[in-house]
Amino acid sequence: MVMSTCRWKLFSRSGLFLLAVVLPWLSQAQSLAKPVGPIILTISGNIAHKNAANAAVFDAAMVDAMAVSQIKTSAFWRQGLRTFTGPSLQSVLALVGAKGQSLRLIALDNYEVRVPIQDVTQFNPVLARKIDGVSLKVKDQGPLFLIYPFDDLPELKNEVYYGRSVWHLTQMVVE
Amino acid sequence: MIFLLILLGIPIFGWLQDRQAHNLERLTRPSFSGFEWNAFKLELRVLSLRSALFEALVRPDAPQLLAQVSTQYNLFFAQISLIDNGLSREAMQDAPIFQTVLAQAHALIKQADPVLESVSPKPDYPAMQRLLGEVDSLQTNVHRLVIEAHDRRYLQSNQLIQEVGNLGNYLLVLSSVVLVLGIGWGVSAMRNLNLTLQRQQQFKELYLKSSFHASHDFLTGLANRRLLYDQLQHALASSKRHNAYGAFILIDLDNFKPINDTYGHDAGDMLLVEVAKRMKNCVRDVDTVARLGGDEFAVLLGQIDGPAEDVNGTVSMVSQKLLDTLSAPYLLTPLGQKTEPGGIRHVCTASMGVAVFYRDELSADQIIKAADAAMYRAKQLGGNRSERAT
Repeated sequence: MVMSTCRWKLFSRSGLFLLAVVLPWLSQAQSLAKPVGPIILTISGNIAHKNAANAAVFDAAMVDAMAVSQIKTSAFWRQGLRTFTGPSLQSVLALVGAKGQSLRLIALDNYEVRVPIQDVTQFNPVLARKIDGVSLKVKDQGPLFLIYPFDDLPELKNEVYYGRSVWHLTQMVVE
Repeated sequence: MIFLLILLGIPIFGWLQDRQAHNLERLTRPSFSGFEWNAFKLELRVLSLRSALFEALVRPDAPQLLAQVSTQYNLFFAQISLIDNGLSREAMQDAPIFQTVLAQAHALIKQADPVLESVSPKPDYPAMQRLLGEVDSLQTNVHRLVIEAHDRRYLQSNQLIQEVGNLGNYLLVLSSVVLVLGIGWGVSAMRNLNLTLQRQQQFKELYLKSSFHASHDFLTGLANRRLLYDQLQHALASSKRHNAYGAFILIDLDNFKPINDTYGHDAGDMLLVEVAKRMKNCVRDVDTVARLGGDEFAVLLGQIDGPAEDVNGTVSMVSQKLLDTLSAPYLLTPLGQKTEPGGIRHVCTASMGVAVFYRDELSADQIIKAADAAMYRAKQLGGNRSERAT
């Protein structure tokens, strides 16, 4: 009895030790957590890191946990200056290891638009989760609102980039 | 006058241009194109909501349909708030159908919010049934709104096209005015140039004429006193420079007055003209023949060619030639009453005084005086002769 306990202790200790060494390495390959709440964003296509069948899915908590950027701008959908807060599209794409030429953005109402990948690096749009500090619901163009920095770069103030500023954003396909 | 037109034209054109710019700006504001699209999306949202609501009501056994209803309702809400707060609504602000739709939509939202905003575990089907009716009636109005928005946008597009056309016309008018002004300027510049050239020419001629009139006798075309005096000074200077001899001959016509008295001044003038012609024929081109007034003439021989010994001989020869040509009879044919058929025949001789000069031994006045004295002597001795000054 005593001998079996001793052997188990040794076994479990070494096993734990092994696990402790291996676990970080394992978790790096699977850096995306699994969503707990309702899914607000699905990214599929040419991506390296997935956490579901063929896609990377996020819930509100996961998106909120990411490092945020901010864009202050006004545009035709509302009078006055508004502050858009959320992770930058670049960081989200980096997180899932996206490699492609363009991005297909799909909204809740099936509105679809294609964005070239150069836009992301050139203009650094933000996937806003909050407007003026208020978390977005579907009722106020949420859950995600892709916003370009219109006030900083006035050359973006035309139909093309207004069209790419998708609200009710729910799905992204990397092509 | 053209300047006045231009001065008036600038503010007028400025005002026209300003009005054009204002019109174009009004017609290309995003509100005019944005609203039609918003209204169309609203209709889609209402239709999707209606169909989701209908589905959920028809199949109460499928609770996942309730999630769809909630989503569609929230999307509808989002679109309404976009229209409410957006900048494009000013395009439709004055349309009654827009106000109707807004009021109806807000009423619907008030009714539907507690029921549809989030999926509740106990769905209120009767309320949803009532909502379906409301949504139907909203949908009719939204459709009318879409048509109104489209009509307005179409109208604005036409107006825009017209304004752009007007702009084209305006530019055409402006450029043609500028062209006309430019041509006018060009033409007047050419005319100015022409006039300037003409005037220059006229001035030149006038100057020459004036200077001729100032220095020549009107009747005979011979030099006058002034010119003769100038020429005498020149002759003295050149005589000094070239060591040459010169001669100054004063000539007075004998029995000239009877012509005037008998046949009138016309005949007298004709005779004088003839005298001038004959004298000019006797001398070289470089010599000056002058009329000093009345029947007094002078001949200046400057720079007599040949050696010093021959000067006297040359001068005598010239003065003899003059005497001979002047004493030949004259045949005058004046117009007027006192004419005889065949013309007037007259003989008019001359008395001459000759003064030879060398370098600046004598001044101009002394030369003239000497020649005058010699001429007087010739006159005293009966005329038709030439006397040398001593």
